[in-house]
Amino acid sequence: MYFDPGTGSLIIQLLVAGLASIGAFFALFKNKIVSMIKKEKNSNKKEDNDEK
Amino acid sequence: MMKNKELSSFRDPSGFIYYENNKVIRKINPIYFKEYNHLMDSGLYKELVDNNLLIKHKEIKKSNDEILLEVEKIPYISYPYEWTFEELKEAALLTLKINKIALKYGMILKDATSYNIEFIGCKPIFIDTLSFMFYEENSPWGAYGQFTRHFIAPLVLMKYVDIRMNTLLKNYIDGIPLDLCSNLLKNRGGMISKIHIKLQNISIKKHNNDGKKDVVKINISKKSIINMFDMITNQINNLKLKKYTTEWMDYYDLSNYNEKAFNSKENIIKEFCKMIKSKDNDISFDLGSNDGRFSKLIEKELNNYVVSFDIDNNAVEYNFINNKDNDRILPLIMDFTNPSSGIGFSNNERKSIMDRGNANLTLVLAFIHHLVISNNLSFEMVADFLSKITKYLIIEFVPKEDSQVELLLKTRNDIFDFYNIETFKEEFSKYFKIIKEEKIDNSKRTLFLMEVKNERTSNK
Repeated sequence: MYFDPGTGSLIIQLLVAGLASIGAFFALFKNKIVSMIKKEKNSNKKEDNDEK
Repeated sequence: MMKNKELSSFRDPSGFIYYENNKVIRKINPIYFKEYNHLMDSGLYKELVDNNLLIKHKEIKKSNDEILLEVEKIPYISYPYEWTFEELKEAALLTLKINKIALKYGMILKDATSYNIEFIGCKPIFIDTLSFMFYEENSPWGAYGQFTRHFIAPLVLMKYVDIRMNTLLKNYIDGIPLDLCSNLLKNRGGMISKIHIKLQNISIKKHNNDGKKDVVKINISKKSIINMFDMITNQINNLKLKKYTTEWMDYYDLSNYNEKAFNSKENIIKEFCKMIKSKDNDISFDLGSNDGRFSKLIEKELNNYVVSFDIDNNAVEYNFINNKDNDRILPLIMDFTNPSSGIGFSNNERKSIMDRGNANLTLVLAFIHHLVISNNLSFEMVADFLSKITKYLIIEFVPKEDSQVELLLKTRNDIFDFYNIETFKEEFSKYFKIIKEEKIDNSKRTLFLMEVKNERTSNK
């Protein structure tokens, strides 16, 4: 680095990166649930179609 | 002797830029050889250049003392205080994208100033080849504070306070200070401001004097840094202005043009273009370009690179959004009654409009009445200025009988006895040779093609 990154800006990254990681975790969790629901819906549809 | 050293290229000891025989040369000092070699050998340079994210270069010398690169030239230099909200947003997103790619190759950006980005037409490109440093496992991003000042601060101020807040960047060459940004935002600004501006501002104040203490080691995993880049990318992507799609759609309907007059104007300009000596890729200016439709015409007719200036943020934004894939039209915000001056140390780091190179052709359409009547400039002052920036000039004279001029004079004293076509021609003839003049059908306006008498500044 050829300039002072600023201790305050470095320290706050602990919080910013922490928040981002929590967000990423929940996004992953949400995506998993959404894809599970989708899968279930698709398999239900398939069953319905098979019955027909 | 290196006479033409780029005067903004002094901060980073890794190297500097200079100009030689109209070429842009980047000299790399031995202190940066390791990083440069990694950039080139790891595949990072290739991935960035293949995706048009980083400026291309050619190695022209490699010795133990220096590496010299010939860097691809940017057709026209612009600065963040001349960009629209969307342009600044694109520049911010490009910085984050490059950072994320660099991490894959074990590197990270050591700085994040908005001056590391330039536009080729409407496409942003990263121009600082020496910005990459080795990523140290578990360390935070050193340029996060700078990124906030240069990108997040002006973007949130433009969105939540006033669109003209980008002009603050003229005063603060290393980005808008976060305490100032925080004061201006007050309680506005959404989550993005709470996190990056307000909390960071508190943290900066709290740790202001930490230089006196022992340095604390801060550990952040690589995964968390990537998550942080993703979060900021999403937050910036979600910053959207409400207006610009509607206001400018009927711009030309409001002015004095019916379809016949408009077609006549286009045809005359096309005819004038045939009389101009121009090479492919010459620079043209369009002053008061509005939504940029005549910039497009010039770009096509002459195969020129057109810098499309307007004072109005929304018009320039409209121009940018509608030409996003165009790499030949550069829309910029500029007030020609007070164009960008030189800023930075010795007023030399960022160039004034007069120092950034001239145009072969300049369009001044439906603009002269704003300069003369709204701003009290004389015809001679306008002609004098234009003769310093262009060789050819296509200028539209808008007479007093025109409804747009009538509108301007409605609310003020008419102190403009001289405002007539004869005086206009007389004053402009001091600086330009009038090659042709033609009246626009179904309108009271006249178009002129002129050529400067003595070129007064050389193309830089």
